[in-house]
Amino acid sequence: MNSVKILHTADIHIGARDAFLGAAAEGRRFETLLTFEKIVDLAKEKGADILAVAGDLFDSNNVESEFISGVLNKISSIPEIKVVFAAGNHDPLNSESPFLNNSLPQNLYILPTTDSVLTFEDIKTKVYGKSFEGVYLKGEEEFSIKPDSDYINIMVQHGELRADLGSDYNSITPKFVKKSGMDYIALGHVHTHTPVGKIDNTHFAYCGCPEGQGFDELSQKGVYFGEVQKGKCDLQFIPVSKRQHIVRQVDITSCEDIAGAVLADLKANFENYADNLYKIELVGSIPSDATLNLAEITARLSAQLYFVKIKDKTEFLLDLELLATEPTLKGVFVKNMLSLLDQSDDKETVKQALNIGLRAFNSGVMYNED
Amino acid sequence: MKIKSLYISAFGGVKDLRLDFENDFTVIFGENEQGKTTIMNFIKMMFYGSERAKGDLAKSPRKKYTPWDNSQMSGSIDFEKDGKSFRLERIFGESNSTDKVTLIDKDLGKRETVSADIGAKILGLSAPAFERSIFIGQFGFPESNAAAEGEINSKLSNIALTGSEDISFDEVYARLEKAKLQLSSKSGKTGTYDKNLIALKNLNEQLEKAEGDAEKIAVGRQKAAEIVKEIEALQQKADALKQKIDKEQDFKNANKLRELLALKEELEKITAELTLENGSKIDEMFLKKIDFCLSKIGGVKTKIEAKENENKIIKQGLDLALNPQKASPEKSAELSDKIKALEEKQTDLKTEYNNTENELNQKAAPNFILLILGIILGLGGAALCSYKTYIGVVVALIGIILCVVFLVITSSKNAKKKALEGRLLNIKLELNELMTVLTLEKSNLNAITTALNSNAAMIENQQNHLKENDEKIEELLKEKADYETELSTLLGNTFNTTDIDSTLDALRHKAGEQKEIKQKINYILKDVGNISYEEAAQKIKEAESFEIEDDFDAIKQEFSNISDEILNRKTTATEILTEIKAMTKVMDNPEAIKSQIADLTAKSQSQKEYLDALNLAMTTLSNSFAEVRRNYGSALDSKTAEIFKGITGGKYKAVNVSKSFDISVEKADTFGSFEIGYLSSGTVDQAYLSLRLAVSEFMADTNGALPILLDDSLTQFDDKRQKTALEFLKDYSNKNQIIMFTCHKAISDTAEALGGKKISIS
Repeated sequence: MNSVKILHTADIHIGARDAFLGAAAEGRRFETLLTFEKIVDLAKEKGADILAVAGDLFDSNNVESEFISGVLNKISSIPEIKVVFAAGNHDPLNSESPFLNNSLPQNLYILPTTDSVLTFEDIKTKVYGKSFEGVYLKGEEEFSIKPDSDYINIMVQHGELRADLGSDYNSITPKFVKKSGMDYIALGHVHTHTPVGKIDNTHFAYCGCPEGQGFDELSQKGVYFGEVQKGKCDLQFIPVSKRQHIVRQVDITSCEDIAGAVLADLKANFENYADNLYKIELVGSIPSDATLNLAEITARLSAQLYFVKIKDKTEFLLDLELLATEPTLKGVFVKNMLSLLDQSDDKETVKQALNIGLRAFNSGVMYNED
Repeated sequence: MKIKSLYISAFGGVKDLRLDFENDFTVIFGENEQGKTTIMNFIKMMFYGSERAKGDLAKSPRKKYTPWDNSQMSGSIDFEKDGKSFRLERIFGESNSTDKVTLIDKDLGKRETVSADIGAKILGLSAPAFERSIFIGQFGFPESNAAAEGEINSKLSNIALTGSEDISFDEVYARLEKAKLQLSSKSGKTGTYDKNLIALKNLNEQLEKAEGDAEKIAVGRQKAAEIVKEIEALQQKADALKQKIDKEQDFKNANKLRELLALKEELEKITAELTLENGSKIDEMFLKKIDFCLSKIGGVKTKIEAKENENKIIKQGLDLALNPQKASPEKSAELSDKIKALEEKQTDLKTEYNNTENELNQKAAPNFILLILGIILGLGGAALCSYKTYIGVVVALIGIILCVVFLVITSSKNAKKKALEGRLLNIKLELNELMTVLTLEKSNLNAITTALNSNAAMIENQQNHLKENDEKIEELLKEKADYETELSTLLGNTFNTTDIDSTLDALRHKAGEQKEIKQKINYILKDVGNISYEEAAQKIKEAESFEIEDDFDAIKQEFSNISDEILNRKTTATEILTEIKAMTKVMDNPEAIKSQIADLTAKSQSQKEYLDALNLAMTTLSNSFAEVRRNYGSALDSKTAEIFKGITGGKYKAVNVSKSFDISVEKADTFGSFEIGYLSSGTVDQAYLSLRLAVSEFMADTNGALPILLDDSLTQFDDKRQKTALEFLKDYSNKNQIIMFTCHKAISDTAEALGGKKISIS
């Protein structure tokens, strides 16, 4: 039975800046290129026939030439693998595209901006698809080229799976999938990977981005690899990200060494914990007259972690009811806040106001950026 | 609530100490500082344990008071509350959670394990509040000087206004406000939140533009694609028209082509005719060669003739010279005479000629007078006939006669003229003949004369000359023969034709015709383009099957219009694509902007929430402050006044706190108030103590009476004030249990003297 090995990736966004990193951002930008190289190495190691890149390989067409030459050089180092690329809305195939302004390796195939098909006789496979020409692309009801039953038919496409044709970014409807007659559709655009879906005999999936770019992308990051046959699809998700974005809460009630407690928690829960990017929320209760020195804790943690930001969500160890009985300013303040809390609909704001107010009795209450 | 007794098993440096407080006014005298501080902290820790350290572990009370010999830190306190007796036992562990705290209801004999901060329940105060209201230390300002004044003011006013000397409403509020201004400045432009909002606005504008650009580009691309389609359609039309135009041209050319082919045939024919039997083709070059030969032959012939003539004359001369009878003086004389006679005749004839000519001229003019007269008379006569017929007829007749006469005269004149003219002609002929004969005879005479004059040398010379000429003639004949051979080679059989000249002429003529035909062919080819005869034949065939359009001009015009259209469209398309390229270079990707907007929105949302909370806290704080002032206000004032009065022995009657937090005191016997700055430190101390006590009373109002622990509060007081104060305190202890610590013996003695209980510890 004829089969082809495919490694499916997309949305690498080489050259992108991680919004939170500040000074570390430049280093992280080059890591996106390293991720790509890792994926290429993986393709070679696994003996892939095709490396499908479903769009947004570059974060924009204006990335520095080092990124472009890095990518092209890496692709030319695997001449035995066919690299098929369909441009996405971040790196459309317009006059600024690096793919139109540089000489390309032999094994790199760029899908044109109209429905096209590439035929690979040696692996009896045809690859279909088209590239974005600009920032927007209107989807179609069906693909204009029909599949060939003598070949394995694979589509590589950047776009948005949805029920109708209303997306600005190449709507792909269930009807389109059904009519395509493909054996597998390698999708790009959505940054979270999906399980492999199926309509009639056509399988399809988003591989997601292989390296997260912000704290809004918290799921597992990687690529799909496996075998595609006529009507059959056997793909595994392989995580490849170097660093994960993690949001975590750590309870520091009765903790003497807060930084130590946080590190212990991370060590226990994450492999390669030191490589990740963390947003830590400190929760629990602290004595009423205590102040947390966030700067100090952050400094201690940063010495061991690639990147960390701390948010103070602790509460004072206070018997507020008791405090409310004191005739002092603090007492009256608490009393008033507690009654507001009862009356108000916006309890979050009142809680936060109470917290801030109490902290202000002891120390400064400047807003801490997350 | 009253503390009845306490027992320290081990706490800090104190071991196995028991203190009883049956008296409500107890003074504990200890020489060193540590003792009393230890006991005070013991009391606090018994009720509240110790919380997590603020930072410096060394400051942790638990660590500090852990007994040096590592014996178990523990103790108990017996106290009374609401008429009930209790004992609180505590064995201190590592932290609050490991402390063993037991509350024993002495009346009921019940033991229960309670929480580490049981103090909150028993005393109704939080740990900090306990510290603030029950522990009263020294005020600590020895001198009331300018620098300290502000601090004094704020401390006192803090007590008055917030119940706690370290907490000032201003400070708390300022912290909140600082945080707020950092987020959102007064101008609304420089706070971090403000800036984020502005940045968001800019990003949204950028996004709009980027989306607009993307839209424009998409529209432009579509337009360009449409134009390309249009161009294709137009191009098709243009091609069809061009085909028609080409065909017309071909059709026009067909006639020329026909002519071309006809000329070609003619050319072939003539060329064949111009080919001799020997194969030579007669063309310009050929004819030139022929002409050359002929002219050479001609030239040679002339030379030969000339030489032959020369020979003839020489021969003649020689003949005469060698034949004396032919050339003698007598002969010479004879000839001379002949010549003379001839010359004379010539002269006569010439004269006659001239005379005849003159005569002819003279008689030229006809007598027109006669004719005119005749006509007049004739006509007049005819006219007269109508008058007088007779005379008229006569006149007419005369006229007619005259005319006839004229005619006769004229004709005879003419005849004469003719005769004369004939004569002239004859004379001319005669003259010519005479001339010829004359010339001959003259030359004969010449020859004879020469012969007569020549001698032997001259004769030999002539003979040699003759020989030379013969040789030359031989040569020339040979040359001529050569040329004739060449000519024969060229012309072949034609050479031998009888009339070679006319044959050659005919050939020349034909060659000229051939040249003309070739020229015509060339002109046509220039017109129709360089095509072969086969192509020409093909085109003619095609043209024959072609129907001409009626209006070629219209077609050509349409073709020109369409070509212009195509050019315009191409220009437009190029413009559009250039614009798209330029836009693509500079435009932002809407996606990138959108994600920036999302980030920033999240950030500013978080900031907004914080800002709202700050505002709420600030408002509530202000309101609470106002409330506190209201509540405290007069109540605190009157309480403080009472205490102050008591402590100062009636010297002062009130401590006032102004709106601007200035403290002033009122003297009992003087009108007006004194600001703190004017007071001695002792008075300030008294004021401080009064305020503290008043605040404690306030607390007590809500929680029930509480013991007051004074930590050497009267050290700054002079002896007099001390006594007054102690008296006051003794009195005060009826309401609130007072436990005073001091390391001044005098104070403890005085207290005892006043009825208090003195306990010494060391």
